[in-house]
Amino acid sequence: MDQLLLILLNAAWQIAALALLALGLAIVFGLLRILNMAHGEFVMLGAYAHVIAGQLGLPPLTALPICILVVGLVALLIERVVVRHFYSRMFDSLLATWALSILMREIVEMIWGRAYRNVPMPVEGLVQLGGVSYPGYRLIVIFLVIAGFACLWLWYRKSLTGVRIRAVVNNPSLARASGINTSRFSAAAFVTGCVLAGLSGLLLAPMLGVEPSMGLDALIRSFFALVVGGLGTLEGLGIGVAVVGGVQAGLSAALSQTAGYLGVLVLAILFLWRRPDGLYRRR
Amino acid sequence: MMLRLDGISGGYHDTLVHRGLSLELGAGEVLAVIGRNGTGKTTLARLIAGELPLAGGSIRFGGQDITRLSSWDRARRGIVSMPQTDMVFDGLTVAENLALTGAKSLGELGKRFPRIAQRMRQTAQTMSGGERKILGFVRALVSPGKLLVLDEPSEGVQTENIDHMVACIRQACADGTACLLFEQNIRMVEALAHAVIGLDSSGVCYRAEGQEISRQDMLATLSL
Repeated sequence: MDQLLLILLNAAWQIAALALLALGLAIVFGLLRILNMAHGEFVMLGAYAHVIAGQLGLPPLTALPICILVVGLVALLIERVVVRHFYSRMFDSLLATWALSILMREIVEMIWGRAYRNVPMPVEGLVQLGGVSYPGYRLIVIFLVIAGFACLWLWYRKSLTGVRIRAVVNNPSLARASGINTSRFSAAAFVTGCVLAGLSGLLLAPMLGVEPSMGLDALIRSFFALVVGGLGTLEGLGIGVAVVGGVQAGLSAALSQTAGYLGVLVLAILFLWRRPDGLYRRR
Repeated sequence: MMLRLDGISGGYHDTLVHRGLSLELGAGEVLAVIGRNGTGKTTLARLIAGELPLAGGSIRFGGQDITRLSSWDRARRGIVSMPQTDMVFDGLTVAENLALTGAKSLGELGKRFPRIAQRMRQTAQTMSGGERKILGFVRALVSPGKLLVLDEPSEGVQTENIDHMVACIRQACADGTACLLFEQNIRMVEALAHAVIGLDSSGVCYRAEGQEISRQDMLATLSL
């Protein structure tokens, strides 16, 4: 019984962490049709907010505003200077953001070195659930992800801003004719996606650790989740992270960590091969 | 003058569709632009809406030069366009399509097109071609604006509903709105136009105002 609860909690944790990682990539792809290869580097940059706060001698909580500010400014700069020239050019944008990812990684390495750094848990301690004691910080992140996604979905489906966003994606030309500044919209969408990537790095840093090359793993796992769920919708993202996170957690519990990674890899290959649209098709 | 095009040129990439075209349109007036398919009606509509860049000439709207303004800035100043294709947001419901215009209610339009008012929760892409045209038309007419740029609103729409469209445009013009109507439907043009411009493959081939507008000449423009 306790064993089952632990497995379920681990699955919930895997899924929540993956949802957090993949959200930014899904937003940028869904709204702009750009596969942001530098997504993982924004995750990494967000995680480095801990390092910046530490070096400046500021309290750990200031990492949050530092993360939003630094990642937001870098994303805005990149969108205005590079990415905006590549909208509706799928392959070119892939190469361009790939180049950006290398650049960002190298710059971070120049400033902070290659060393792997540990980040202390912001919330220490274990929570007793039935016969299981589980890290409190993970429970907080799981709760934040569930609440955040519920709010996001409601806002996207019900608010007028949500309607405007869907209108731009659906028919950009008519959206412009309705007075919507699609250029500013694109910048806002890109910056939002990148800041969310940064926030996921910030929140997950205590578990992942911080190093310049941590972005690659984040990008690949997010990409797998989107491939399985279906690129470009919130629903697809939800299904994708549930399946990929669930498979990874299940196989890890039943066999080993390696089997978990392997299972996800096989799943992603099968989907890319047999069902590239993913499980959830756009209506 | 509400709208004034001064020798505008433009088209796609390096192919100019229009060279040095000029026209004027005052408040409360309807200017119909007629011509067969491929004579540049849609291109002209898109040049005015700001969806295509001008290669030359200038556009003044409400006394201000808007030549260099983006399409959204033109829309915010009161140019309301209904494109010929993709005139609605397919993925959105009827209610969401209308909510984007900022209009609070349909008013008279709801009575004239009751099927739109009855289908508020339906997704636009599940409607027929004619219904989507009507939704696009209703969208344009409830939008707050001073100039309507309508690109073939009657295409694929039943006669009865075309008559409703005519009545709605008349009402809008009585309230001071100007209308640039791109059409091939002669009845609609006759019912509304204060002036007519005919296009053929070489440019403007016909201009007439008020009493000079003749059905024969318009038919000649549309035939060949």
